[in-house]
Amino acid sequence: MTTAPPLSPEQLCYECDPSHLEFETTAELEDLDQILGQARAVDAIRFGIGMRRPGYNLYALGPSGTGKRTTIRQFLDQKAASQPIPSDWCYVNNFETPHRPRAIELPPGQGVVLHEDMQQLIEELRAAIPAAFESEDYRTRKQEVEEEIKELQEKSFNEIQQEALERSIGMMRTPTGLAFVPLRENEEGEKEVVKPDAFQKLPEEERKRFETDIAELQGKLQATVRKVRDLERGAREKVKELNRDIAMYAVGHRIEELLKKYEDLPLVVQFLNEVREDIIDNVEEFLGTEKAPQQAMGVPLPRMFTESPIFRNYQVNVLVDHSQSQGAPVVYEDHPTYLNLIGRIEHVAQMGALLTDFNLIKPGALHRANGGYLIVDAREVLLQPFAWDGLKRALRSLEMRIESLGQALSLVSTVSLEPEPIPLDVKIVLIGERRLYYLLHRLDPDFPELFKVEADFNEAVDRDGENSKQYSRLIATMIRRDGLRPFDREAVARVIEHSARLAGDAQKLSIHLLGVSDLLREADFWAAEHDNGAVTGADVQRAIDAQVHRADRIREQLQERIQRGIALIDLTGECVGQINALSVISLGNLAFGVPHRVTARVRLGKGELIDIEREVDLGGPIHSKGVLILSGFLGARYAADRPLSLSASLVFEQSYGHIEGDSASMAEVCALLSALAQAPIKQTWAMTGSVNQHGQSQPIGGVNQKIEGFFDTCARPGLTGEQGVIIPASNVQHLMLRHDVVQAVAEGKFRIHAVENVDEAIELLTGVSAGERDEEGVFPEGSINQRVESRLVELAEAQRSFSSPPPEAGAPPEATDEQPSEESGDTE
Amino acid sequence: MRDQGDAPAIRRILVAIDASHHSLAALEAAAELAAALKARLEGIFVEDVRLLRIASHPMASEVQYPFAATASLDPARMRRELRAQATQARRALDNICRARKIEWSFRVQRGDVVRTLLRAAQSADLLSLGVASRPLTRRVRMGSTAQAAAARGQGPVLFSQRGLRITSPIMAVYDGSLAAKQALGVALALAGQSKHSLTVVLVASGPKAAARMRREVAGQLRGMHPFARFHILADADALTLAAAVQAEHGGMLVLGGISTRPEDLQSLLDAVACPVLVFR
Repeated sequence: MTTAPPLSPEQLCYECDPSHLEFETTAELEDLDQILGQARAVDAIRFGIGMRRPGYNLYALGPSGTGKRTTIRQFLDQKAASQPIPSDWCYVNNFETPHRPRAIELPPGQGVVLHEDMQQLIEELRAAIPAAFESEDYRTRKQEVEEEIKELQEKSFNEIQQEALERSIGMMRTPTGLAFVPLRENEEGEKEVVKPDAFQKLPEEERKRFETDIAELQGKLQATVRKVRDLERGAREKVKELNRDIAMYAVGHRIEELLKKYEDLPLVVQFLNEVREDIIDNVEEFLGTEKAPQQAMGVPLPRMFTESPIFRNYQVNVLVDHSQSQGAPVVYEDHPTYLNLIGRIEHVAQMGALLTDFNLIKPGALHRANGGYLIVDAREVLLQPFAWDGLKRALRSLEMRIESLGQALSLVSTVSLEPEPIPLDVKIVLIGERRLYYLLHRLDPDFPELFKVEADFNEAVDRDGENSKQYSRLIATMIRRDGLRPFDREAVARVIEHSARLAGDAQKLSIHLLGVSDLLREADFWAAEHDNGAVTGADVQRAIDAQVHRADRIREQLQERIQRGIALIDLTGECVGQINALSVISLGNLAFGVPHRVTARVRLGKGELIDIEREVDLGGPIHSKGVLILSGFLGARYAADRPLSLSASLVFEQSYGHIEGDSASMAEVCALLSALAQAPIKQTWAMTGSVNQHGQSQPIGGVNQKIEGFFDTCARPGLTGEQGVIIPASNVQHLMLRHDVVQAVAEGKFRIHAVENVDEAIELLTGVSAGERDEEGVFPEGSINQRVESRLVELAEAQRSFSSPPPEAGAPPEATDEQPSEESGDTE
Repeated sequence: MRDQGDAPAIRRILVAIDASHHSLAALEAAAELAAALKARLEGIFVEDVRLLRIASHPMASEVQYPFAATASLDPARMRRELRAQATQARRALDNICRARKIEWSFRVQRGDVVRTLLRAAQSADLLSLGVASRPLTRRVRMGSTAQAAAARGQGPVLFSQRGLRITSPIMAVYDGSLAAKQALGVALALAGQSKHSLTVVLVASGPKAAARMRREVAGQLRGMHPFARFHILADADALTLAAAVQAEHGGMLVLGGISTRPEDLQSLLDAVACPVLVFR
């Protein structure tokens, strides 16, 4: 028997020797000016940033806390600072089709200048235009026009009235028009209307003359009325022309100045010309003296409704202003809703109606980042309704089209604004977890086209001398960034050890900087108690212990249940078919190990290996796979040339929750071998590890937590020196055990063995040799393997006897010594 | 009624309303005056008998204005149109008096417009009317009724034009005559009640006369209107007066003892942009 030797204390924890750190405190270390352990991601980012082609957007993938955002931001800030400042963008009124505001591109910083120029223009015109219209010159010219029309009107009516009078016909105003009536002189020499009866008495000839004359005069009057109407129209035109002249005089000079200022910008020139024409056409808006009401029904009205809407038409809505920018923009949108990304058209409620105009167009993150970089959290953008679709649409079309969701989905057809789209030139950087990246790649056909560059961030870096030094500088950088006390070398060594523990691998260092950063801050907090100027290793340890203590209420409860005999775990003695397996429970920030009793029972059967967890749907697929592997192992090793005629059941005792993983499969196979060989297992052992069909041990996760879990269970009543844990040999490199565990091992109070295969494990567990086949293929007598094989042969024979045909009628039964085992099917 | 000094007791104001824009301006001005003087407003609409006669002619027809279409006239249609005008006039009077809490009455009389109106004005303390009814042209010439009221009216007459309301300052022209004193009294009452400012135009041949008139006016003011402005004119022809009103941006002109010949009044009305109240 060649029992696997126990592991030495040195193998249990790859300690960081403070004496190898060439500094007293982190205050002596320079900041780390490179990204530690992310060479692949950094190369990808460099490539992605440099490649200015459509679709070469980045997806930074990796677990949170690995510094993706910081790294990306750092690179983008460096790159953007040397890139040109992009253009400003404004929206102005479209005087031809007001519902389609025009987008104007301006050199950086000019948007605000144009906005202020137009504001000033409006203010000046508000004073200049009324002044021009109150001038003596204007009044005189207008008076001239009016006098002219008055004279012409009077002359026209006077002429016809005079002609009528000459024919003894009067022209009278009726309620709705003008009528001609015959006149004659009365006794006093005054002309009066001929009464109807008197008219009838007039000679026929005179009546006819009156009738003819009146008809003729009516025709002339009609022509006169039309002429007067035309004169009125002409007068109005003249006044309008005069108003245009005066307005042009008042406006022209100022607009000319602006036209000259912006002569290199054709769109601005076009806008200014349109403004000039509009002001001239609507000059009366500048002459209105009455102020609009400031409130309605006691509610103050928005400013946009208290002034003439026409003034808003001349304003400039600066959507993107780069007057204060240095280089290309780098925008991080932390709330990437559809509207926050694409922009929005806001409305103002007025008396129950929603009103808007181009001044209420608001930019989205894409506008602000245009010409630069936009960083968005992938999960956030996918969680926001329609945000992902909106982002992709913009990237595909390379333009930003602001439309409400209602418009985008064709849900509403009310008249709203359709702002002119703005060309898009932006590099998007999505930050997210790996799973999302692979899901998007698989499920969204647009994704590979739009996000061609993946920047994959590592979680851990190799733990070698150089990286340890770099890691120390990284710690120093983080300490300075957060304004913490310097850490002495022991503290740094302890952080490095903890980092290896976080990585779950003694040969690696975690670059999950969030966890490290938290530890640094908390150690600094505890250091405040003694405040000797530097954080010590004890402070770091206290921070770690405190982290664990804050989170380990459930762990304590589970350990207590074992202690009180509620959860049945034997820590002494021996038992057939029963073993202490180990599992890891992850709750929040804490993962811890606890022992579980696994039992196996065998009986005569048809080769089924019953995993009770699976039968009741408490076992996951990986767990079931592990159990089925056992069946393969048993069959191949012990029953290659005969039927496997047993029925075995395996169970995690007192487990009422879901079990997943195959890390107990080696324990299960050992329990099964124990049951078959009737070899009791020492309950001082706990075991973890998975196994393959050849009986080789395979590594499992959480090895440190599992060992510590069993150690804690044993330590409560007191370590006996007999207790220990068996782990796969391939897990030794992952060991970063707690100092108290290492200490106990060093003192011989606890032991840890690493095994290569099932045989080594069963030997440790039973104290009986596993046994190897000799040249004839026979296991040594009394070995575990021989006992298992013999038992399986017995079961196979029993199975055969049960399946033989019954003797014919009348024939005496054959005499035999072999009787079916009474224990068959209930072997322990 | 409050003490108006030398002002005539104006308790009944007759306003001629034919629902034209000018007559509605006259109604507005009369209502302001009635409210200030606590007077009763008496509206009158005169059905022009000449129109009814015209409509009875067998050949009666009209050219509609400003559409230039011809339409035949008949008495029934004419009566309907006159009734409609009267209804509008009554409604306008009702609305304005109800709003200002003025006592009012309204009557419709048929007859010759000038004669009927001048006769009705004899029993009122003041006549208010528009300068024209429905002028065909932009130039507003005094209509026959306004001319007759200016020439033959017995009592005070208030002439109004479309778009012109009583505003500050009230300008009273004072030449020391009895009519001028009455005019000043009404102007004082109107300015005091309506919180309008007051400007007194003294028509004086020299500084002594001006000083005398100023003392007289001050006596009539009796400490009221301490901020009243004075304007001295050597002559009170229409153009001079109009220039003074324009200079002061007068909101109402109250004349007393000044020539009220229609042609003078026409010149004045052409030049000033406010209602004009004439005492004689």
